[in-house]
Amino acid sequence: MRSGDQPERRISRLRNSRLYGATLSLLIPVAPAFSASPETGGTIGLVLTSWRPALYETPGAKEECPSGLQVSEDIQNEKTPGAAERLAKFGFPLNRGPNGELAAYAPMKVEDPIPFRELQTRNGFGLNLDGTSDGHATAKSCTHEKFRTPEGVAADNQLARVLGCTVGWRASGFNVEFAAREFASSSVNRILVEISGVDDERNDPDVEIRIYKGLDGLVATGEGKFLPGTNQRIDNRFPRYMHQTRGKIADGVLTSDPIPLANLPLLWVANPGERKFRDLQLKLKLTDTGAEGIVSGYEDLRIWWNNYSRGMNSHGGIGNYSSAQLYRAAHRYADGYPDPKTGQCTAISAAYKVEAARAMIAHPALAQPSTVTASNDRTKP
Amino acid sequence: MSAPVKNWTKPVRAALIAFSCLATVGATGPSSTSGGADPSLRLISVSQYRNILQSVFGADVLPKVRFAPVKRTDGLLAVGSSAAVVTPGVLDPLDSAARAVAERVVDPLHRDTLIPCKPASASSADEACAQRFLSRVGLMLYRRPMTQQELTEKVMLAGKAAARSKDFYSGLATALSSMLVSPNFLFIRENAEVDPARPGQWRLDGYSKASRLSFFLWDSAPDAELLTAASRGDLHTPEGLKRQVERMTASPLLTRGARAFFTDFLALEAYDNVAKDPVIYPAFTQKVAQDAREQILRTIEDHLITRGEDYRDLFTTRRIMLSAPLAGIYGTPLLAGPSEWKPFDLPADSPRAGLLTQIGFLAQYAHPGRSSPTRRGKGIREVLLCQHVPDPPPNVDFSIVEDPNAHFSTARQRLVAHNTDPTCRGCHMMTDPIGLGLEKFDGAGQFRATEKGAAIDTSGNLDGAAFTDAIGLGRALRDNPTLKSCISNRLYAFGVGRPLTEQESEVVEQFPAVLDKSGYRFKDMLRLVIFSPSFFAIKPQKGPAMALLTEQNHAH
Repeated sequence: MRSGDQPERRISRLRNSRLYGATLSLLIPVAPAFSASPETGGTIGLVLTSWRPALYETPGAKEECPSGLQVSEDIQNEKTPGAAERLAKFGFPLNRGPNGELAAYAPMKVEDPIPFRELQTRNGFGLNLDGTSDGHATAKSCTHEKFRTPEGVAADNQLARVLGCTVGWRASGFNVEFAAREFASSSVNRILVEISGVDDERNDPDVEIRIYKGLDGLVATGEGKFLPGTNQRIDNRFPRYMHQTRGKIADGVLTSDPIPLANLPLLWVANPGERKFRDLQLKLKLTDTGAEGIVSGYEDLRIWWNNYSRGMNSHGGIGNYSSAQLYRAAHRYADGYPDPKTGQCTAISAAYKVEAARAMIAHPALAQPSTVTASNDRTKP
Repeated sequence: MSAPVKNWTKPVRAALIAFSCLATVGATGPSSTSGGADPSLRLISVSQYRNILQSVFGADVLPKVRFAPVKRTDGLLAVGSSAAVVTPGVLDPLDSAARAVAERVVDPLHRDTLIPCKPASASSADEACAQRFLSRVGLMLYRRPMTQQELTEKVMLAGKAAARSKDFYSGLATALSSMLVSPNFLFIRENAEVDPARPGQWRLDGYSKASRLSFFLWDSAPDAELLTAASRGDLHTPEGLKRQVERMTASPLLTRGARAFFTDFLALEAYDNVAKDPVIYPAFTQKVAQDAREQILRTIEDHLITRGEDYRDLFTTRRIMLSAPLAGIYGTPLLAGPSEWKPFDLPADSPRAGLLTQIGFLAQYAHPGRSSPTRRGKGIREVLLCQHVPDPPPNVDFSIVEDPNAHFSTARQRLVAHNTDPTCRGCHMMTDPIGLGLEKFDGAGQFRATEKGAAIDTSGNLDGAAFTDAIGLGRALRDNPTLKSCISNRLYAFGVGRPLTEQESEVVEQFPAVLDKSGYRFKDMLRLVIFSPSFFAIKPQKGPAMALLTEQNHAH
């Protein structure tokens, strides 16, 4: 059983921390409502250790990318008439716009001669964000094709159509490995998940789920995994990264209710970024040492692109993709939250495969000294 | 004027008054000083070497230095150091370290702070300035004033080296480095003198008493005030001695002395080599290992120094010091950064309480891949109870426990099978009934409810005191009379830096009679040691009082 501290003190603490966070973040919107006290019952603490786009991959990409993988922006540039003149005039091969615009910053100014390689499989990973089985338009979604998960469930993950045929984002690709390393090494990315009110870790119809930004590092093991059971403090400076929802555990799988709006801190190529998700949901298979599964939601397209393009603005050759094509594809496949005036969807369904290690989550205002009980002292050697 | 004693507990105060009287009048009987020991000569430790240099020159001149391992004798390295020598293989790195320190002391960054004068010319010798500097540091490094002959030799050495290099500071560094490899620095050499107050008796001279006090209480050389007290003869009077002891035990430096003693007493240097199989115990990282060792010292520091609690309660206390890397193994979140330490109260239903259940102890006395009731029992017997457990014979038959068809689930089952061999049973009976009490902690000190799916029976007894679990074992140890005599003996031996004489053993045997009433508070224990009639007692020396002659020649 978790011994929660006094509700009054917690409310006061959260108010104070919000004020502090608001001061820090100036005009950034305030955090969503956050209830005062965690529930009683068992608590499972998790720290995310891995965050990768959830892509369906077959050997040689033959099933999902039958027309091949994307080519790099360098090749697109070489095949675009006038490459040598542009280089002479603007000094950098990716300054491909008519006035030397960098493709990452002005993707609509650039035309690629080699067409975008479309993802063509119906198999994929993700969660059903719009609640439909066929992807028809709803009040919060545009018409789109659904994927079918290995469990046979319809799922939304249009970001997979944007990235799925890019070698850099596929297994062992440069982008995905770079991002994974950065995710683990920088505490900017430290995302904590606390599941409380857990009466049975295998089956519990109602649990509380909280998300925090953490402060501490991960401890790597010699096998490239991350140590479970490490101490992880909540970064109390950022209440905007604290989110709360409810969920259930069935056969050891945690499924959350959607969080209407969730900002998450994600570093990308050394650029501290903040990603904005609507209807963020978690589906995590819980284990003795951690969890693995899917985090999915409608990702704000403008923020996603800003974050993405800032990090990779001159790396189109390494990542084997074209900024112009990526930008266009993301907008073409966008399926969430249509603009009421234009009808253009402003968000894209995105599913990420995540891994997590169990963690001891330390609450900033938790009265010290705290307590440990026989039941939560580590019980397995 | 008598020293302030109002904060001493009543029994200790009474005992100290009695001891002081005995020491002053040279009483006979069990507490007689007539059977004192010879003055000791012992090698300083690495920590003492570093502490002295830090106090004389500051932390930024400290070199990296390692001494040759000292043989643990009578349970203490401090006793082994009285038989330690400096071999050429050890002297070379010490010489390199000395040169490095000397160069840093005289370099442009430090010379204006550390050298109290400026030479008439930086490119030539300056006898007066060299003498001023060398006599000052000599007092601190040798823990006594340099003799006139010693000082003259060092000033000449500095002068010759300055003339050769045409650099005053280089000359000074040469002289300083030679002092840093001198036996007068590297060895704590005690000097005896005839006791003018007691015809026919000898005593340690004032500076030797000062060194004994400071290395005992501060793990370092005497400070200026203590040296001044020594020069005035204050340490030969009960009042002067009490005044200094009171000052020193009230100093924050006492923590350093306590850490040095418990590092030695608990053999914590061995904890530096604890290694666990990372496949079996992935949580036992290098950082956890380091913090587990440090946790023991910090808990002791908190318990004995900060809060002035009873030593015996270290084995039952639920208050520990905790770091973030350890928090995971203790199964609790901790609001602390990666290098912070916080006091932490284990709750009443925790399976842990006391030093025996700290990860450091549990992991040290275990195998790399599994627990070991035998090692844990042996550790308790040998370290905490000062008892000797014989090593196993070379031809131990492990065939019973290594039988793959045996299906032993728990350590108790394996040991019961092993102990059917009568040659093994004798020693295992000394260790296993104790160590099995800690079996709910695996080889890395992590709690476990079962072993290979089987329930773990942690019942046992310690010298007749039955217990059912680790907390009960801690209580049994706390109340074991041998625990008290062991710490008393070790503390005394650490203070004098040699094995106890027969008379000293008799004196120390009286400690529990006092401390049982007052409680085994560290400062009270230190006072009992220092004010015991034997602590500074020296047996009559043969020949003339050379030490006294030497002291008369001290340069001033």
